[in-house]
Amino acid sequence: MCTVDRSAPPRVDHDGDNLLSRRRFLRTGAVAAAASAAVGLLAPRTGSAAPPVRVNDHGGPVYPRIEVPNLAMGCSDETSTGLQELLRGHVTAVQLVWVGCSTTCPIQGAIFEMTQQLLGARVGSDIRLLSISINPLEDSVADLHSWLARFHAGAGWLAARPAVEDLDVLQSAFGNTRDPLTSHSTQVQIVDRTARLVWRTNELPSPESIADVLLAAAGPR
Amino acid sequence: MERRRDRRRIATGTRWRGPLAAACLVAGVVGPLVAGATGPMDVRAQGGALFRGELPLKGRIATHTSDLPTAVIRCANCHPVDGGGTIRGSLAPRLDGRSLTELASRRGGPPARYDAASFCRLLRTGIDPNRIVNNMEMPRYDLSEPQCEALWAFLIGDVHG
Repeated sequence: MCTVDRSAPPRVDHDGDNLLSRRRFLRTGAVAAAASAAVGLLAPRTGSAAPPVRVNDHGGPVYPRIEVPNLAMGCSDETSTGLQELLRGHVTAVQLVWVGCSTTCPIQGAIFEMTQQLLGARVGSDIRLLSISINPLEDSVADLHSWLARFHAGAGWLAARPAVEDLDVLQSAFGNTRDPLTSHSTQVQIVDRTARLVWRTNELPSPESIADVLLAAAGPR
Repeated sequence: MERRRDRRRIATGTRWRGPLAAACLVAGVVGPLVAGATGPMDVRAQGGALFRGELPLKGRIATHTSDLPTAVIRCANCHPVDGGGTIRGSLAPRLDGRSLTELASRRGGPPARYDAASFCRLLRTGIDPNRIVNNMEMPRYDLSEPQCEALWAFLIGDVHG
């Protein structure tokens, strides 16, 4: 299921795409720049390394778009691929979960199931859903498969897991500032066709809001 | 004489109508919700079944417009109960009669305790006894009075049962 479908027509993403108007982008960018400067001033400095700049951790547009790290991913169909390769060619909603979690993860799964229903045939054509396990030590390929089955995932909803040593990079890229082994963000990350992060939702977003952002990022069919 | 008998009948009818209506309400509202193959459950058993999601629950995340399935919003997914084990990865408090009814600081607020009314208000609105809003991960539940009372009875049972 992780096999990348190249049948979707390639598209060129422009900064002034459907997600945000150019004016809004510029305005948002100004706010983001101010926020980044504030983060830079407030963050503790260790050694000479500059602190990482985080933008819109609490949800909203990500500007400039952030390239998703190309981590090795093992998929529910036992194939392996890079995360960027997995994301390229589709607008993708990414969630972080672990299969054995009984608290927020089942809610996240149900939210993706409802999002899949709302989007209908768009999921699997130009839009994808991706559940990434943050517990690769425990979540086997079979567990990823059962996760998808539990929420009636169609062909356009994938599940994958990173290597253990890449967990902190993955979690940092997707907005988790806490312990990467025991916690994860419940935000949904919207990634464009070029594997760049363009939007972060609020925590546990509604299916309607995920569908709206995905459709805006994907554009009309 | 006849008029007096009528009055007595009316008075008797009035005296019985209230409790009868309440009994019918409980039997009519709670009974069908919880009647299983073995017959109606008692109130605490009903609460336990609701807590574990064995009876349907209506609830949603505060920012959502649609309800979520019972299996993903049942209380037992996050909250351990008295006598039960811990739940991996859960930050939700253990719930029992002592933890709910003892005067204690909750969410950084001044000391407060739950009673049946404030417990139901928290479940429905996310607002705790100190008027502090609960975290958004906890669903807001659309519970009837009998459902709420059953959950309360189940959780405080160890103290008052």
